[in-house]
Amino acid sequence: MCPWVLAAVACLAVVAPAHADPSWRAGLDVHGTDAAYGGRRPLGVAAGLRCGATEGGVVVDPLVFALGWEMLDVTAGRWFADDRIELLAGWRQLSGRFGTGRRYDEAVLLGADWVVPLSRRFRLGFGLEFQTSIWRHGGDISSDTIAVFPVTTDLPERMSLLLHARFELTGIL
Amino acid sequence: MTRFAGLVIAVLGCVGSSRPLLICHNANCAEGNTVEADDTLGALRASLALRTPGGEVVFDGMELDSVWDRGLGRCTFAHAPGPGAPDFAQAVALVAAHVAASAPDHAAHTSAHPALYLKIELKTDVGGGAPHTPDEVAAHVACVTAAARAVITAGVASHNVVVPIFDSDDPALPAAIDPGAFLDSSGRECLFETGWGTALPAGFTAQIRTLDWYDDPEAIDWGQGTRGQDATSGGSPRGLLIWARNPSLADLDAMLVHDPAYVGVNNIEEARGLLDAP
Repeated sequence: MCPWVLAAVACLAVVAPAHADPSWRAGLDVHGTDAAYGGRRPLGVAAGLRCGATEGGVVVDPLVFALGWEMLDVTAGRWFADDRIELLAGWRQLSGRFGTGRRYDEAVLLGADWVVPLSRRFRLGFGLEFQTSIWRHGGDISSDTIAVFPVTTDLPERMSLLLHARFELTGIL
Repeated sequence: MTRFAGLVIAVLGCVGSSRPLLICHNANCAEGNTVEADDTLGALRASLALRTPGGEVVFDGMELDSVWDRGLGRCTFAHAPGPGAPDFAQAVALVAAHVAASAPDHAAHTSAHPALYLKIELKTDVGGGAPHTPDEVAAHVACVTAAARAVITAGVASHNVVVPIFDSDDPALPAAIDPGAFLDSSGRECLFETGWGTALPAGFTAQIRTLDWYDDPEAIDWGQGTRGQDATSGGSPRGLLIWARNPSLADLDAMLVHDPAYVGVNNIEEARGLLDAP
Protein backbone atom coordinates (compact mmCIF):
# COMPACT_ATOMS: atom_id res chain seq x y z
CA MET A 1 0.00 0.00 0.00
CA CYS A 2 1.21 3.53 -0.80
CA PRO A 3 2.76 5.30 2.21
CA TRP A 4 0.46 8.28 1.62
CA VAL A 5 -2.57 6.05 1.97
CA LEU A 6 -1.17 4.67 5.23
CA ALA A 7 -0.64 8.21 6.47
CA ALA A 8 -4.23 9.12 5.57
CA VAL A 9 -5.53 6.07 7.43
CA ALA A 10 -3.48 7.08 10.44
CA CYS A 11 -4.94 10.59 10.32
CA LEU A 12 -8.46 9.18 10.21
CA ALA A 13 -7.67 7.15 13.30
CA VAL A 14 -6.54 10.30 15.10
CA VAL A 15 -9.91 11.97 14.54
CA ALA A 16 -11.90 8.97 15.65
CA PRO A 17 -15.17 9.67 17.51
CA ALA A 18 -14.79 10.85 21.09
CA HIS A 19 -15.71 8.70 24.04
CA ALA A 20 -19.33 9.50 24.85
CA ASP A 21 -19.85 8.73 28.55
CA PRO A 22 -18.32 10.79 31.35
CA SER A 23 -15.83 8.65 33.21
CA TRP A 24 -13.27 8.62 35.99
CA ARG A 25 -9.91 7.05 36.66
CA ALA A 26 -7.75 6.62 39.74
CA GLY A 27 -4.52 4.78 40.40
CA LEU A 28 -0.83 4.86 41.08
CA ASP A 29 1.79 6.95 39.28
CA VAL A 30 5.43 5.94 39.24
CA HIS A 31 8.29 8.21 38.20
CA GLY A 32 11.58 6.43 38.08
CA THR A 33 13.48 7.62 35.09
CA ASP A 34 15.18 10.75 36.31
CA ALA A 35 17.74 11.16 39.07
CA ALA A 36 16.25 14.43 40.24
CA TYR A 37 12.53 13.97 39.87
CA GLY A 38 12.14 10.21 40.21
CA GLY A 39 13.26 10.40 43.79
CA ARG A 40 11.05 13.34 44.70
CA ARG A 41 7.73 11.62 44.03
CA PRO A 42 8.56 7.97 43.63
CA LEU A 43 4.91 7.01 44.12
CA GLY A 44 2.04 9.34 43.32
CA VAL A 45 -1.72 8.96 43.33
CA ALA A 46 -3.30 9.90 40.00
CA ALA A 47 -6.94 10.67 39.36
CA GLY A 48 -8.95 12.14 36.53
CA LEU A 49 -12.40 12.99 35.26
CA ARG A 50 -13.26 12.75 31.62
CA CYS A 51 -16.06 14.27 29.59
CA GLY A 52 -16.12 13.45 25.90
CA ALA A 53 -12.59 13.55 24.61
CA THR A 54 -11.45 16.02 27.27
CA GLU A 55 -9.98 15.01 30.60
CA GLY A 56 -8.81 16.85 33.67
CA GLY A 57 -6.32 15.14 35.94
CA VAL A 58 -4.29 15.53 39.10
CA VAL A 59 -1.38 13.63 40.61
CA VAL A 60 -0.91 14.11 44.33
CA ASP A 61 2.04 13.12 46.47
CA PRO A 62 1.23 11.02 49.53
CA LEU A 63 4.92 10.63 50.39
CA VAL A 64 5.26 14.31 51.30
CA PHE A 65 4.99 13.37 54.96
CA ALA A 66 7.86 10.89 54.67
CA LEU A 67 10.21 12.68 52.26
CA GLY A 68 9.45 16.33 52.88
CA TRP A 69 9.22 16.90 49.13
CA GLU A 70 5.89 17.39 47.42
CA MET A 71 5.20 17.24 43.70
CA LEU A 72 1.67 18.12 42.56
CA ASP A 73 0.38 18.05 38.97
CA VAL A 74 -2.79 19.51 37.51
CA THR A 75 -3.36 18.79 33.83
CA ALA A 76 -5.95 19.03 31.09
CA GLY A 77 -5.80 16.75 28.09
CA ARG A 78 -7.56 15.46 25.03
CA TRP A 79 -7.77 11.84 23.89
CA PHE A 80 -7.02 10.76 20.36
CA ALA A 81 -6.41 7.61 18.36
CA ASP A 82 -9.31 5.53 19.57
CA ASP A 83 -8.79 6.63 23.15
CA ARG A 84 -5.24 5.29 23.25
CA ILE A 85 -3.26 8.54 23.25
CA GLU A 86 -3.78 11.67 25.30
CA LEU A 87 -2.01 14.95 24.68
CA LEU A 88 -1.99 17.13 27.75
CA ALA A 89 -0.77 20.37 29.27
CA GLY A 90 -0.71 21.52 32.84
CA TRP A 91 1.09 22.81 35.88
CA ARG A 92 3.52 21.15 38.26
CA GLN A 93 4.45 22.48 41.66
CA LEU A 94 7.41 20.96 43.43
CA SER A 95 8.33 22.11 46.91
CA GLY A 96 10.73 21.09 49.62
CA ARG A 97 11.93 22.07 53.07
CA PHE A 98 14.14 25.11 52.79
CA GLY A 99 15.87 26.99 55.59
CA THR A 100 13.15 27.50 58.13
CA GLY A 101 10.41 27.50 55.50
CA ARG A 102 9.64 26.03 52.12
CA ARG A 103 10.83 26.73 48.57
CA TYR A 104 8.50 26.20 45.60
CA ASP A 105 9.32 25.44 41.98
CA GLU A 106 6.46 26.11 39.55
CA ALA A 107 6.68 24.45 36.16
CA VAL A 108 4.70 24.08 32.95
CA LEU A 109 4.02 20.54 31.79
CA LEU A 110 3.44 19.30 28.26
CA GLY A 111 3.01 15.62 27.71
CA ALA A 112 1.53 12.59 26.08
CA ASP A 113 0.11 9.41 27.57
CA TRP A 114 -0.40 6.06 25.89
CA VAL A 115 -2.71 3.60 27.58
CA VAL A 116 -3.14 -0.13 27.26
CA PRO A 117 -6.44 -1.48 28.61
CA LEU A 118 -5.82 -4.58 30.69
CA SER A 119 -9.51 -5.28 31.24
CA ARG A 120 -12.79 -3.35 31.33
CA ARG A 121 -11.78 -1.77 34.65
CA PHE A 122 -7.98 -1.69 34.68
CA ARG A 123 -5.48 -0.06 32.42
CA LEU A 124 -1.76 0.52 32.19
CA GLY A 125 -0.43 3.85 30.97
CA PHE A 126 2.92 5.20 29.93
CA GLY A 127 3.63 8.89 29.69
CA LEU A 128 6.19 11.36 28.49
CA GLU A 129 6.42 14.76 30.20
CA PHE A 130 8.29 17.85 29.12
CA GLN A 131 8.70 20.09 32.14
CA THR A 132 9.90 23.69 32.16
CA SER A 133 10.54 25.47 35.45
CA ILE A 134 9.04 28.95 35.30
CA TRP A 135 9.25 30.40 38.78
CA ARG A 136 11.02 29.46 42.00
CA HIS A 137 9.89 31.28 45.11
CA GLY A 138 9.55 31.13 48.87
CA GLY A 139 12.00 30.38 51.64
CA ASP A 140 12.82 34.01 52.45
CA ILE A 141 15.11 34.43 49.46
CA SER A 142 14.58 36.11 46.12
CA SER A 143 12.27 34.65 43.51
CA ASP A 144 13.87 33.24 40.42
CA THR A 145 11.96 33.56 37.15
CA ILE A 146 12.82 31.99 33.84
CA ALA A 147 14.57 34.30 31.37
CA VAL A 148 13.63 33.34 27.85
CA PHE A 149 15.35 36.19 26.03
CA PRO A 150 18.22 36.28 25.46
CA VAL A 151 18.63 32.53 25.27
CA THR A 152 21.50 31.45 27.50
CA THR A 153 22.94 28.20 28.70
CA ASP A 154 20.75 28.55 31.79
CA LEU A 155 17.59 27.84 29.82
CA PRO A 156 18.08 24.12 29.13
CA GLU A 157 18.79 23.55 32.81
CA ARG A 158 15.20 24.56 33.52
CA MET A 159 13.86 21.85 31.22
CA SER A 160 13.49 18.16 31.90
CA LEU A 161 12.09 15.25 29.96
CA LEU A 162 10.54 12.67 32.25
CA LEU A 163 8.73 9.38 31.93
CA HIS A 164 6.03 7.90 34.09
CA ALA A 165 3.94 4.76 34.31
CA ARG A 166 0.45 4.47 35.75
CA PHE A 167 -1.76 1.60 36.82
CA GLU A 168 -5.34 2.80 37.05
CA LEU A 169 -8.87 1.72 37.77
CA THR A 170 -11.48 3.24 35.47
CA GLY A 171 -15.25 3.57 35.55
CA ILE A 172 -18.26 5.30 34.05
CA LEU A 173 -19.85 8.14 35.99
CA MET B 1 19.90 -1.00 39.22
CA THR B 2 21.87 2.13 40.07
CA ARG B 3 18.71 4.20 39.53
CA PHE B 4 16.72 1.88 41.75
CA ALA B 5 19.39 2.11 44.44
CA GLY B 6 19.28 5.90 44.20
CA LEU B 7 15.53 5.81 44.57
CA VAL B 8 15.74 3.62 47.65
CA ILE B 9 18.30 5.96 49.18
CA ALA B 10 16.05 8.93 48.50
CA VAL B 11 13.01 7.18 49.94
CA LEU B 12 14.87 6.30 53.09
CA GLY B 13 16.07 9.87 53.39
CA CYS B 14 19.70 8.85 53.59
CA VAL B 15 21.19 11.81 51.76
CA GLY B 16 24.77 11.67 52.80
CA SER B 17 26.87 11.62 55.90
CA SER B 18 27.56 15.35 56.14
CA ARG B 19 26.87 18.58 54.36
CA PRO B 20 28.97 19.44 51.35
CA LEU B 21 30.81 22.73 51.20
CA LEU B 22 29.19 25.24 48.84
CA ILE B 23 31.37 26.93 46.26
CA CYS B 24 30.16 30.04 44.44
CA HIS B 25 30.59 28.99 40.81
CA ASN B 26 32.55 31.44 38.63
CA ALA B 27 32.25 34.17 41.26
CA ASN B 28 28.68 34.79 40.14
CA CYS B 29 26.05 33.61 42.58
CA ALA B 30 24.00 36.65 43.45
CA GLU B 31 20.32 37.04 42.59
CA GLY B 32 19.48 37.05 38.90
CA ASN B 33 22.89 35.84 37.80
CA THR B 34 23.38 35.18 34.10
CA VAL B 35 26.15 33.31 32.38
CA GLU B 36 27.38 36.54 30.81
CA ALA B 37 28.24 37.86 34.28
CA ASP B 38 30.45 34.89 35.18
CA ASP B 39 33.96 35.95 36.15
CA THR B 40 33.24 39.66 36.33
CA LEU B 41 34.19 42.03 39.11
CA GLY B 42 30.62 43.26 39.55
CA ALA B 43 29.26 39.75 40.03
CA LEU B 44 32.12 38.94 42.40
CA ARG B 45 31.33 41.99 44.55
CA ALA B 46 27.65 41.05 44.68
CA SER B 47 28.49 37.44 45.52
CA LEU B 48 30.84 38.41 48.33
CA ALA B 49 28.06 40.55 49.80
CA LEU B 50 25.56 37.67 49.99
CA ARG B 51 24.29 36.88 53.45
CA THR B 52 21.76 34.40 54.81
CA PRO B 53 18.63 35.72 56.55
CA GLY B 54 20.62 35.13 59.76
CA GLY B 55 23.45 37.39 58.56
CA GLU B 56 26.01 34.68 57.79
CA VAL B 57 28.13 34.52 54.67
CA VAL B 58 26.30 32.21 52.26
CA PHE B 59 29.23 30.43 50.63
CA ASP B 60 31.98 28.17 51.94
CA GLY B 61 34.16 28.91 48.96
CA MET B 62 34.58 31.27 46.04
CA GLU B 63 35.68 30.19 42.58
CA LEU B 64 37.81 32.57 40.51
CA ASP B 65 38.76 31.66 36.95
CA SER B 66 42.27 32.64 35.92
CA VAL B 67 43.53 32.91 32.36
CA TRP B 68 47.06 33.35 31.13
CA ASP B 69 46.37 35.56 28.12
CA ARG B 70 49.17 35.18 25.62
CA GLY B 71 48.02 38.16 23.57
CA LEU B 72 47.97 40.46 26.59
CA GLY B 73 50.94 38.87 28.29
CA ARG B 74 49.21 38.91 31.66
CA CYS B 75 47.08 36.90 34.05
CA THR B 76 43.39 37.84 33.84
CA PHE B 77 40.15 37.20 35.70
CA ALA B 78 38.04 35.76 32.90
CA HIS B 79 36.47 32.61 31.53
CA ALA B 80 38.53 32.77 28.35
CA PRO B 81 41.21 34.99 26.81
CA GLY B 82 39.91 38.29 25.55
CA PRO B 83 40.53 42.02 25.60
CA GLY B 84 39.13 44.01 28.47
CA ALA B 85 39.42 41.32 31.10
CA PRO B 86 40.59 42.69 34.46
CA ASP B 87 43.85 41.59 36.00
CA PHE B 88 43.46 38.52 38.17
CA ALA B 89 44.96 40.56 41.01
CA GLN B 90 41.89 42.84 40.95
CA ALA B 91 39.55 39.96 41.69
CA VAL B 92 41.89 38.62 44.33
CA ALA B 93 42.02 42.04 46.00
CA LEU B 94 38.22 41.95 46.40
CA VAL B 95 38.35 38.53 48.04
CA ALA B 96 41.26 39.58 50.26
CA ALA B 97 39.30 42.67 51.34
CA HIS B 98 36.31 40.49 52.21
CA VAL B 99 38.51 38.19 54.29
CA ALA B 100 40.28 41.09 56.00
CA ALA B 101 36.95 42.66 56.97
CA SER B 102 35.43 39.43 58.31
CA ALA B 103 35.18 38.54 61.97
CA PRO B 104 37.38 35.59 63.02
CA ASP B 105 36.19 32.32 61.45
CA HIS B 106 33.40 34.15 59.64
CA ALA B 107 34.86 34.80 56.18
CA ALA B 108 32.84 31.82 55.00
CA HIS B 109 29.65 30.14 56.14
CA THR B 110 30.02 28.61 59.57
CA SER B 111 30.46 24.91 59.09
CA ALA B 112 32.27 21.87 60.39
CA HIS B 113 35.31 23.13 58.49
CA PRO B 114 35.59 26.83 59.37
CA ALA B 115 37.66 28.04 56.46
CA LEU B 116 37.20 29.98 53.27
CA TYR B 117 37.93 27.78 50.27
CA LEU B 118 39.48 29.86 47.52
CA LYS B 119 39.05 27.81 44.37
CA ILE B 120 41.19 29.07 41.52
CA GLU B 121 40.69 27.48 38.15
CA LEU B 122 43.60 27.66 35.76
CA LYS B 123 42.05 27.86 32.31
CA THR B 124 43.95 25.86 29.73
CA ASP B 125 43.45 28.18 26.74
CA VAL B 126 45.99 30.99 26.36
CA GLY B 127 44.35 32.29 23.19
CA GLY B 128 42.97 30.66 20.05
CA GLY B 129 42.66 27.38 21.90
CA ALA B 130 46.42 27.07 22.27
CA PRO B 131 47.89 25.30 25.30
CA HIS B 132 50.48 26.81 27.61
CA THR B 133 54.17 26.85 26.76
CA PRO B 134 56.45 25.91 29.70
CA ASP B 135 57.14 29.62 30.31
CA GLU B 136 53.42 30.35 30.33
CA VAL B 137 52.80 27.52 32.78
CA ALA B 138 55.40 29.10 35.09
CA ALA B 139 53.88 32.56 34.72
CA HIS B 140 50.32 31.31 35.28
CA VAL B 141 51.39 29.31 38.32
CA ALA B 142 53.26 32.29 39.75
CA CYS B 143 50.16 34.43 39.28
CA VAL B 144 47.75 32.09 41.08
CA THR B 145 50.29 31.27 43.79
CA ALA B 146 50.73 34.96 44.58
CA ALA B 147 46.96 35.40 44.52
CA ALA B 148 46.33 32.60 46.99
CA ARG B 149 49.07 33.87 49.27
CA ALA B 150 47.56 37.36 49.28
CA VAL B 151 44.20 36.01 50.50
CA ILE B 152 45.86 33.70 53.04
CA THR B 153 47.80 36.68 54.40
CA ALA B 154 44.56 38.65 54.75
CA GLY B 155 43.11 35.68 56.61
CA VAL B 156 46.03 35.44 59.01
CA ALA B 157 45.44 39.06 60.01
CA SER B 158 41.69 38.58 60.55
CA HIS B 159 41.95 35.07 62.02
CA ASN B 160 40.26 33.36 59.10
CA VAL B 161 41.71 30.20 57.61
CA VAL B 162 41.92 30.30 53.83
CA VAL B 163 42.42 27.07 51.91
CA PRO B 164 43.37 27.35 48.24
CA ILE B 165 42.00 24.84 45.76
CA PHE B 166 43.80 24.81 42.42
CA ASP B 167 41.72 23.34 39.63
CA SER B 168 42.18 22.79 35.92
CA ASP B 169 40.90 20.62 33.11
CA ASP B 170 44.59 20.00 32.41
CA PRO B 171 46.08 18.51 35.59
CA ALA B 172 49.57 19.40 34.36
CA LEU B 173 48.84 23.02 35.35
CA PRO B 174 48.08 22.46 39.06
CA ALA B 175 50.76 19.78 39.08
CA ALA B 176 53.26 22.60 38.54
CA ILE B 177 52.24 24.22 41.84
CA ASP B 178 54.27 23.43 44.93
CA PRO B 179 51.82 22.38 47.67
CA GLY B 180 54.53 22.85 50.28
CA ALA B 181 54.27 26.60 49.74
CA PHE B 182 50.84 26.55 51.39
CA LEU B 183 51.43 24.18 54.29
CA ASP B 184 50.39 25.88 57.52
CA SER B 185 51.12 25.06 61.15
CA SER B 186 47.92 22.99 61.48
CA GLY B 187 49.03 20.72 58.66
CA ARG B 188 46.48 22.13 56.26
CA GLU B 189 47.73 22.72 52.73
CA CYS B 190 46.30 23.53 49.35
CA LEU B 191 44.06 21.11 47.48
CA PHE B 192 44.20 20.10 43.85
CA GLU B 193 41.23 19.39 41.65
CA THR B 194 40.65 18.09 38.15
CA GLY B 195 37.94 16.38 36.15
CA TRP B 196 36.35 13.06 36.99
CA GLY B 197 38.18 10.34 35.11
CA THR B 198 41.03 12.61 33.97
CA ALA B 199 44.40 10.84 33.87
CA LEU B 200 46.85 12.40 36.30
CA PRO B 201 50.53 13.12 35.72
CA ALA B 202 52.89 10.76 37.54
CA GLY B 203 53.37 11.73 41.16
CA PHE B 204 50.44 14.17 41.19
CA THR B 205 47.44 13.68 43.44
CA ALA B 206 44.12 15.48 43.00
CA GLN B 207 42.16 15.40 46.25
CA ILE B 208 39.02 16.66 44.49
CA ARG B 209 37.48 15.30 41.30
CA THR B 210 34.96 17.37 39.39
CA LEU B 211 31.70 16.23 37.82
CA ASP B 212 29.36 18.34 35.69
CA TRP B 213 25.88 17.36 36.90
CA TYR B 214 24.46 17.73 33.42
CA ASP B 215 27.01 15.38 31.89
CA ASP B 216 24.55 12.53 32.39
CA PRO B 217 25.07 11.68 36.07
CA GLU B 218 23.08 8.50 35.48
CA ALA B 219 25.96 7.18 33.39
CA ILE B 220 28.50 7.52 36.18
CA ASP B 221 29.42 4.38 38.02
CA TRP B 222 29.24 5.90 41.47
CA GLY B 223 30.75 2.83 43.03
CA GLN B 224 34.07 3.27 41.26
CA GLY B 225 36.94 5.56 42.07
CA THR B 226 36.46 8.78 43.98
CA ARG B 227 33.02 8.85 45.47
CA GLY B 228 31.53 11.32 47.82
CA GLN B 229 33.37 12.39 50.90
CA ASP B 230 36.30 10.04 51.12
CA ALA B 231 38.26 11.59 53.91
CA THR B 232 39.85 14.85 54.88
CA SER B 233 43.14 16.36 53.86
CA GLY B 234 44.61 18.33 56.73
CA GLY B 235 41.09 19.13 57.93
CA SER B 236 39.70 19.86 54.46
CA PRO B 237 37.20 17.52 52.83
CA ARG B 238 38.36 15.65 49.79
CA GLY B 239 36.32 13.74 47.26
CA LEU B 240 33.74 14.69 44.70
CA LEU B 241 32.80 18.20 43.59
CA ILE B 242 29.55 18.37 41.61
CA TRP B 243 28.86 21.57 39.73
CA ALA B 244 25.94 22.94 37.79
CA ARG B 245 25.03 26.50 36.90
CA ASN B 246 21.54 26.92 38.33
CA PRO B 247 20.21 23.47 39.16
CA SER B 248 16.59 23.03 40.18
CA LEU B 249 15.70 22.23 43.76
CA ALA B 250 15.13 18.64 42.73
CA ASP B 251 18.51 18.46 41.02
CA LEU B 252 20.22 19.99 44.04
CA ASP B 253 18.65 17.43 46.32
CA ALA B 254 19.55 14.63 43.93
CA MET B 255 23.17 15.78 43.97
CA LEU B 256 23.26 15.34 47.72
CA VAL B 257 22.35 11.67 47.38
CA HIS B 258 25.84 11.17 45.95
CA ASP B 259 27.38 12.65 49.08
CA PRO B 260 29.68 15.17 47.40
CA ALA B 261 32.37 16.88 49.41
CA TYR B 262 31.75 20.11 47.46
CA VAL B 263 28.91 21.54 45.42
CA GLY B 264 29.58 24.41 43.02
CA VAL B 265 26.53 26.33 41.82
CA ASN B 266 25.46 29.83 40.85
CA ASN B 267 22.13 29.71 42.73
CA ILE B 268 23.99 29.35 45.98
CA GLU B 269 21.25 30.87 48.13
CA GLU B 270 18.92 28.08 47.05
CA ALA B 271 21.59 25.49 47.75
CA ARG B 272 22.25 27.00 51.18
CA GLY B 273 18.56 27.03 52.08
CA LEU B 274 18.24 23.41 51.07
CA LEU B 275 21.30 22.38 53.09
CA ASP B 276 20.22 24.36 56.13
CA ALA B 277 16.70 22.93 56.20
CA PRO B 278 16.04 21.00 59.41
